[in-house]
Amino acid sequence: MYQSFYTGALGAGSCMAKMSVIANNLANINNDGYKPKTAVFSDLLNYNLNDSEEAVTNLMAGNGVRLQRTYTSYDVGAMTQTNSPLDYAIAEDNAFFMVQDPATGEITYTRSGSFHRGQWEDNYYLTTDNGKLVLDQNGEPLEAEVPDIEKLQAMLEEDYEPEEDDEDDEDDEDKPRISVYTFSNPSHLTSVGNNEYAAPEGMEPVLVERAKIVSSALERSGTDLSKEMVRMIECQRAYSYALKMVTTSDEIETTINSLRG
Amino acid sequence: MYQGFYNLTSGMLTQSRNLNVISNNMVNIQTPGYKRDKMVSTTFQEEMLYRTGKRYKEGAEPLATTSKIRAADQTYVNYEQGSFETTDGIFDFALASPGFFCVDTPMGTRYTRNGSFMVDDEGYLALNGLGRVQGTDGPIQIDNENFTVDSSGHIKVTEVSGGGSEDEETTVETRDLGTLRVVDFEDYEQLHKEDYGVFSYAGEAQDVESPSVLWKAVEKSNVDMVEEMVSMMSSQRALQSAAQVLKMYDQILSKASTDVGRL
Repeated sequence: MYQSFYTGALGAGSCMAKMSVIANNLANINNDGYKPKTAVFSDLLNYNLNDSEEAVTNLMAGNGVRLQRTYTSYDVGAMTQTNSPLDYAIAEDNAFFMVQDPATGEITYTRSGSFHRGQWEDNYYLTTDNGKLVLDQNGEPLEAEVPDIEKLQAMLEEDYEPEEDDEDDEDDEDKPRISVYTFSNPSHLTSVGNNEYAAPEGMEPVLVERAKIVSSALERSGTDLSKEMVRMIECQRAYSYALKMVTTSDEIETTINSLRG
Repeated sequence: MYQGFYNLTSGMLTQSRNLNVISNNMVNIQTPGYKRDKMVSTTFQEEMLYRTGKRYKEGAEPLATTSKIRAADQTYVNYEQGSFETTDGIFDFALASPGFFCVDTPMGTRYTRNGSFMVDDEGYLALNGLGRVQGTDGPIQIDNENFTVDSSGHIKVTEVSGGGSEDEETTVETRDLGTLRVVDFEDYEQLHKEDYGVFSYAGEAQDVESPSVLWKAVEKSNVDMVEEMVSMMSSQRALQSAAQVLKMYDQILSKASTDVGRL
């Protein structure tokens, strides 16, 4: 009978859920490569106020609201210059680095390009912060360049002449390089934590040819502080607003209960 | 004598129904494309009052009409346009012109102004699991999410291919993914609000020739916070006053049944 009580409570609950999404965006404001999530609400079912469930009447009310889903936009964010040559930023929308867990072989995707030189088995590979291998255009782990000490020493000497590098010209296409992948529907990716996303079964990654990748740079968190703050205020007000309805319904029940003093 | 009981009870019931409607408006303040409901109440059935003699019932004299019951009549949907909020969502659309988006649901075509779409498992533009969004030529399959949308709802994707080596030419191709179908109705009274923010229409929908579609924006709920709060307060107080009078009624009856009859 007192549907308004539950409707109000449901509204307050969904506001709390939205607030969690906003809080997570705000907390990740310094997390490079983070993409903010947006919460979307939807109406719920409608019911007849004074008739059976099946009847079609014009006297109806809805019974609340639900947090329908959250979505992420994988747009290019602001970039910041770093001094590490192993930092990469993707200047393409909907493109991701493909990384692989060396232990399980599981493949995930990330836009966070803060990489390191990590040792795995006998070789040095480009790895992410949590030790996952970065894959090249062929889906193979990308070996990290190890500076050639002798060459560096030679460069310091006065009569150093750079060697003609004619190797570069041939097979340039096939040389393992840092690559990014995209999907037909990036919106179907699921977040798995650590700024990483997993592709659903059946969605195959597509290599982005000649992708714009900026080295020695990182993509900053996509969180827009002002937007999130506005949403937070809006959400907080909606929360108290819904709770006002709960209070009112409660007062009405008190009134009913006190009909017989 | 006891008629007032039913009168007051009907008033309380109607107000509590009204609060059910208001509460739903209040919690849907952040729902995109939500249109607020307004409940109107009516008198139930008018009755004629006659004065007759105690013994001779002939020649009854009509006195007045009276209404005993207040009843909830109908909920009206207010189709006023909501304000727009720009979002980052590439599947967010808003209609700046009158009209509705069309969604194919298992029950038939449903209409909505909630343009917060998504893509379903097969890559078609869809509304939160209700069904696919209709384009002018069937459902719209999004196989590349780097698309753009113009103000009339054409979804286009520009694909650059080739140019890998120096002698290969770069080709830039613009491909149409589809156009959002926007319809309008002659008689909004015939629209029927259904679950999850969609409407059904009994008659024929008319296609809007040149709709104005905003991309990366959603139409916000058209709920007015102040108005709902005031309606809530007045509805609550109306219920409480009815309860108060009911209490008095009860007291009078208590007097009548205990004190008057006391010897």
